Amino acid sequence: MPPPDRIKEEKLIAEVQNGDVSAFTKLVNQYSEQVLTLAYRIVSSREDAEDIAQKVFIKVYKGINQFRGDASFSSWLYTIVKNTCYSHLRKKRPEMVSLDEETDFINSISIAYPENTPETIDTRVDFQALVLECLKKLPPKYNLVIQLFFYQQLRYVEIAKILEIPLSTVKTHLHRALKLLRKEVLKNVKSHNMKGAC
Amino acid sequence: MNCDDIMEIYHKSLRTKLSPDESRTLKEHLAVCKECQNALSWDNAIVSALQSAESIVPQKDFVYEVCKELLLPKLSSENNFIRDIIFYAAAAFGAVGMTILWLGFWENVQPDYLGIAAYYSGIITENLQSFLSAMPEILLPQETRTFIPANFTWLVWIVFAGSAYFIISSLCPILPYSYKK
Repeated sequence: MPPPDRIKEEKLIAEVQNGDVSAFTKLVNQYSEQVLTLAYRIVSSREDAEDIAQKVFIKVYKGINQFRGDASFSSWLYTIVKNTCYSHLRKKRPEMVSLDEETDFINSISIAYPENTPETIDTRVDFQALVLECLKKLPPKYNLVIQLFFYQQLRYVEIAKILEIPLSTVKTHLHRALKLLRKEVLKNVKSHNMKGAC
Repeated sequence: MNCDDIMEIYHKSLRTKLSPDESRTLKEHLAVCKECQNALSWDNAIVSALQSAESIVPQKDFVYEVCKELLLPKLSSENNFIRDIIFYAAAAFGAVGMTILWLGFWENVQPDYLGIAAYYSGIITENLQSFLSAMPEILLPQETRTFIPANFTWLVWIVFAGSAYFIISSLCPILPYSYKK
């Protein structure tokens, strides 16, 4: 038997499918924060993220009858967020020919670790801000897999559905994404250290 | 097992419980591999930074904006005809009000060379009085029957100002109660 929250959500979705606008506003209220945050972390602009979030909910309203309930509503919603963000990025960054650019080199990169450990990082450096800044530099597919796994706390199988990739690829993506992120963070930590030393 | 395999086991441990074999492999490798110890401590810090990152709170009017985008085109296509009728009726009413005012104003401050003002104000006053006297007592009390002709110009001014505001606001959507909102 599905949990009470799921039943409540299914009821809400059924009401939206019957054209109930007030049920739709409840749905928007419930998911607007997650959608906006996910969009923001992918496109790196608050203004663009708000536009995307609006577009996403408009698509949800118009296409709600296509939602059959096979997957969870959040998976369906995040798939729309992903597609809308990707299409936005393609328009905004035409030089980015493919968002699924192959990064096989990631496995072969070697990382030189700084002398200090994360616990001894200069407190002047806002580590969280640094991590989020580095995350923006990751290819969108890696950025997205990190967002879905760590921020949205989704399971591998849900991420696989959203990204339309096999389960094993999700694990590989997550592994590569974290390695790439670590490399980027360390590069920035080193540059902060060098600035501090100067 | 190489370092990449070990890190994959570690990443698995972020969400699921490792098997005793996997746990032992991870521990044994970490005990001897400085590289993986470093990677793991940095990944731990990064993951905790990611998990504690605050979400972006939407603007207060976010839901309104979404609903407006969705519902306004529907409303405007369905109600355009009615809204336009109301708008043109108000515009016509404003134009008539303006003419009446102009005639009254002209009569007061200029000699009525052509007799237009006298003619129209005569017709208006006459018709208004006959209209008011024809109204049943219950709808229009006696005191109101005298109040309306006595304050006719002011009443027309008010009606005219309302109509004018309606027309202006329709052209300027930022005004409150705008027709275009």
